[in-house]
Amino acid sequence: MITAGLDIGNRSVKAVLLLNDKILSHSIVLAAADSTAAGNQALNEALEVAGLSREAIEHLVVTGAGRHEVSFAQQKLTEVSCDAVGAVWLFPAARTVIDIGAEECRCIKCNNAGTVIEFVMNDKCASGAGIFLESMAKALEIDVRQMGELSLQAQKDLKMSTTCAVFAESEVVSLVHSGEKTEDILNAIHSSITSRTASMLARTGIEKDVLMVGGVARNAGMVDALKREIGLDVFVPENPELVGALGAALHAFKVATDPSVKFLPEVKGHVVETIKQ
Amino acid sequence: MGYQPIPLESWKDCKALNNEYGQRISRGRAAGRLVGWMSAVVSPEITWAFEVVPIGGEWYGAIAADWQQEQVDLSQAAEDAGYSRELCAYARMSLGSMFSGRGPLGDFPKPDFVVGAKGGCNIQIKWYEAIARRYPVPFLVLDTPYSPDPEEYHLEYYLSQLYEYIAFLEEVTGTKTDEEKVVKSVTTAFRSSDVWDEIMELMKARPCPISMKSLYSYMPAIVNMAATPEALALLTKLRDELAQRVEEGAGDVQDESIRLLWEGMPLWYKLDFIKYFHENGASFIANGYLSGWGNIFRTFGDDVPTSFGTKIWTEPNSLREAVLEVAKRYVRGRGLSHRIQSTIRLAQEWEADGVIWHSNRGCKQVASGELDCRRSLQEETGLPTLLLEASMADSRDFSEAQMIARADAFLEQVRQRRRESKNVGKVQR
Repeated sequence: MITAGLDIGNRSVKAVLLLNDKILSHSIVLAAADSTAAGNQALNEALEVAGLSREAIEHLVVTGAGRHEVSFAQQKLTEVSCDAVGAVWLFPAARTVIDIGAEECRCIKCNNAGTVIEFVMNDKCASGAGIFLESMAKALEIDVRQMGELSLQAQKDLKMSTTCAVFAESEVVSLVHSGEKTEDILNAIHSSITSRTASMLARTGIEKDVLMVGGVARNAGMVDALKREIGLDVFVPENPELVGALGAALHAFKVATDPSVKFLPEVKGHVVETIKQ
Repeated sequence: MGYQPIPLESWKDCKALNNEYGQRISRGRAAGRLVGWMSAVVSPEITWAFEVVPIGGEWYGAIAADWQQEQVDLSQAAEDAGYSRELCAYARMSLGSMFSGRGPLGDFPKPDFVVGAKGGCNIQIKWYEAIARRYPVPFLVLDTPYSPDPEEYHLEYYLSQLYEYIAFLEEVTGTKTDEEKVVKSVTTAFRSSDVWDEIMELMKARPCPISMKSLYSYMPAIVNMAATPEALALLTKLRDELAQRVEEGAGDVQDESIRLLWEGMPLWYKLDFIKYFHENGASFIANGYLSGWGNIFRTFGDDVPTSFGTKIWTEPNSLREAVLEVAKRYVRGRGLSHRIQSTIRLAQEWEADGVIWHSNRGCKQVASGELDCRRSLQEETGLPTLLLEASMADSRDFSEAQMIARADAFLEQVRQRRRESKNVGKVQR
């Protein structure tokens, strides 16, 4: 049986194909204003890798910020649910999942079945998400992909005093002019994010094993900063940005093989229309 | 299926009574009655025995919040006058209305006297003082004692406060207390509370007979007008309607599959948010804010209510007995432990599947302790919980997309946890 999961994120769209409960293929494409087109592209690329056509898919679940824009999926689920299932499938001992994406940060506590026990979201403040890192990389005139490894060379424990992504740029410029090294500044930036992550974890509670997922998990400096912040090992899967799509695909497999499994009924219409006064 | 509210026969009466409360202001003033701004916990039982027109500040805040775009203007007017955006949104509604001269009833209804009380929250003391000082008019504060375990001397103290309130009303109105009216007013108010308890009890039925969205419209009856025969009649009619629905197995959410406790204040400008949950099969079956206007959380009296139906007040036959009953109602155990116990009790007795907290920006009284409350409830019951940050009366603090994102994840969590507990006998942690 072929099932699929699609994660329509703010910056990238991810697709995962399963053959029963084994990963068959995956793809990542850039997000676009047209979520349906981007979703189709991601799905088609994954199908091409697997050598399959769309008709082969028994059940498709979509998640991510853009899930409501996609009409061709059988089911829609939140990233929270999908992250938990995907994380536990990859790491059966995972009980705390941190997903730092481009524009959101989620902390999730789950059980051994991938069922969510508690969750906290931060989508109000950009200084805890990927776009903050992008703007900091720009301010330091380095490639965002270099941030992680470079920060691991830090010798000094600098502190960022501002908590705002907008004002942080001027603070970084000021640190540069003060002669502080790039690696030390990067370490401070990572620590400022993880201190906010730690506050969120204080609300969900932390239980081992801790797994970090989402695109920002590729930043080794962020993972290291988080480990130091919480005093625990932090594990990162091979393709951390795919965990949401994987979780969606696993939900799809569960539903396709067990019709008694029901999730949140599809939201009727667009959010604004549903609760318009 | 989904949300298909069953028309309420008492709905027209409810709307009429709510309109009447607003119209009393202009009618009463024209008839020479004094208009008094006061907190909802300034014993409406005693107030209604005098020929005055009470305006509940919280009621005004709620209707102002529903005043479409203008409600933001009211907040802005308060902020322009130097009040913080972090201040209670109700206070900003009335202060903004006062400074701008406009509001949901037209002109700002100027007070002839003002009464604050500590029984609601500490903000009310300075909020009402600000109104009184502007005109200026006579101002009294009722100092409700706060104690986790009130004793006789707390009661005696509040009795003296209530007598001071009566003397204040005599002075501002230039009339003597009509003792019979006070007895009647208090009795009617307490009977209304009993009926309210019955309504809360009926919400335990499956499906829940009424949407919380509709129930909020009946709040002026129990909060501001409980001492009037009209309010008692309305609440009795509603109770009878809901009892009928319970017998027939009818409810506003036909495919109800999730039952939730809502803790905290309503979103007065966005009550439609409740519909979102209804559309997804979830009813709100209890709310501490609603239940508090009945008797179940009273902790002072000869019989501490441990179950519904325990009669905890005595029909007064004299002014002294009436005022004593009022004092017993307001001098109740307060503190975090009481809050935690009340919330757990609601969640367990009403058999909630989950609890949503509205973390009301600017509401220190309610916000303080809510995380501890939430944690205690989780430890005690294992129920999934959700904290939503918004404001009861400032729509600028409501982010629809964010609220929906959290609601979606929470409803999925509730369903998953319930299915899991059915499969394995208990929720796995």
